Amino acid sequence: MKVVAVTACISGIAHTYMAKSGIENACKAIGASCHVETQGAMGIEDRIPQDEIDAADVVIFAVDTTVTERDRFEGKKVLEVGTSECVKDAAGVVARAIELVG
Amino acid sequence: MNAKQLGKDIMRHFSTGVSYMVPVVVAGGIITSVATIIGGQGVWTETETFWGVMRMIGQTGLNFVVPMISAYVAYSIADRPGLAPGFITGLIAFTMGTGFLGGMVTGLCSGYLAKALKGINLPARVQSLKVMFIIPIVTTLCIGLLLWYVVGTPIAWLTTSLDAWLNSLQGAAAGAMGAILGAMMAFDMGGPVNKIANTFGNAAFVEGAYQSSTLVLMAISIPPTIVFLATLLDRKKKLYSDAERETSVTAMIMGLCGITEGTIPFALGDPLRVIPSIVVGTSLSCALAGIFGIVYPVLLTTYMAIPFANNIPVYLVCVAVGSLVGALMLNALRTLKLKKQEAAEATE
Repeated sequence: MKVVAVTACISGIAHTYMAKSGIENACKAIGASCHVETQGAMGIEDRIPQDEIDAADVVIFAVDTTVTERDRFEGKKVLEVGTSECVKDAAGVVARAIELVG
Repeated sequence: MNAKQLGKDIMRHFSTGVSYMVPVVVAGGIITSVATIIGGQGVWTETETFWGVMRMIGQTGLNFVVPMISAYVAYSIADRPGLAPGFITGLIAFTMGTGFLGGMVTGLCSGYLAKALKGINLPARVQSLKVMFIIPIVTTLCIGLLLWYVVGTPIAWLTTSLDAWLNSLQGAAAGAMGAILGAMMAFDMGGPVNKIANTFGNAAFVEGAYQSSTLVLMAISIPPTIVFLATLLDRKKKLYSDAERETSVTAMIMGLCGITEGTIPFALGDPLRVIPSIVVGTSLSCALAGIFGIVYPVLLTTYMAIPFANNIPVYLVCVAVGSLVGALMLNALRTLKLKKQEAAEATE
């Protein structure tokens, strides 16, 4: 299972990165590969290469704002949640994303 | 699209606008604050002295807040085509005195109009004409005219009345305002509810409604103070684990720098007890500050603002009382939890 995700919160200093580590840990726990891009106050960091997006099974947007350059994800299965859901229960969010693709 | 989804989308567009605006408020607000505090009120009208120049730099930043929010709300809706009309109409909104509210309205209108124009299918040979000319010109002109002739004046009136009302709040009314803002600031420690209150505080500061901005800003470092104080008061070290003690110190250090988010790791370990305690404590501090009319005309957080409060001893008492009540409440709740656990273990 290949997961890619984008996290972004309003101030872009805390929730963005906590959601990132939450998703990474949750994916690790179930043996899924994942790449999380953060769109915080520093702008885009750890940008996901387009070929990884194309190869991904599912996309998670853990965002409170609009995803920058969203057109890169055109046609992908996307689960969209708020960052705080990922901070509280990242495992649940990842499970829901995987359910989405069956 | 149903109304609920639309509301959610609009909230997200506002959030995006705010996220781009925050550095502008911080840069402009803090530079202006420092300049007026050190240079005195004279700096507002001159650029002959160093502090006058510094005020000018900061104020230029603050004047940019409304165009900025308008542009990035529009950008969030329509992507790049939203930026130009958003900036231009936002600047008009600012000069008309419509404040934040006006900027949000012009951002929304510009964004949705630009998006709608983007969606119109034209023959391929005029398609590039659409992007180059039609979208920026039509959107800017339509929203500009709409603002000037229709919505601008009522919004400006609303903003002025709101500012006047906020500045006139005294005693119990100001206390109630403080209680609500403090509770919102503490509730999710930097999350969406906190940001609503924070944006309100920033807007109030930009408009010169310093009492409201004070009630928001002073709340920022109280949640970390509460958890730090709670671990300190637990002298026998029974209520908190070593890991919790460590996170409370980190939270306090971040709190001193004006970041509430440091409290989140601590709160996540026991949200049902931590969140109510910090909400009650912070709310109490801000309510007291409202009742006693604490005001500071600077964009600084709880501790950094101390020298600028109009009544420093009373301000410190307000902060201390709320923090202490929050900490004691947290320790009481944790003691109950501990007793429950002990009882459960005893019966096993």
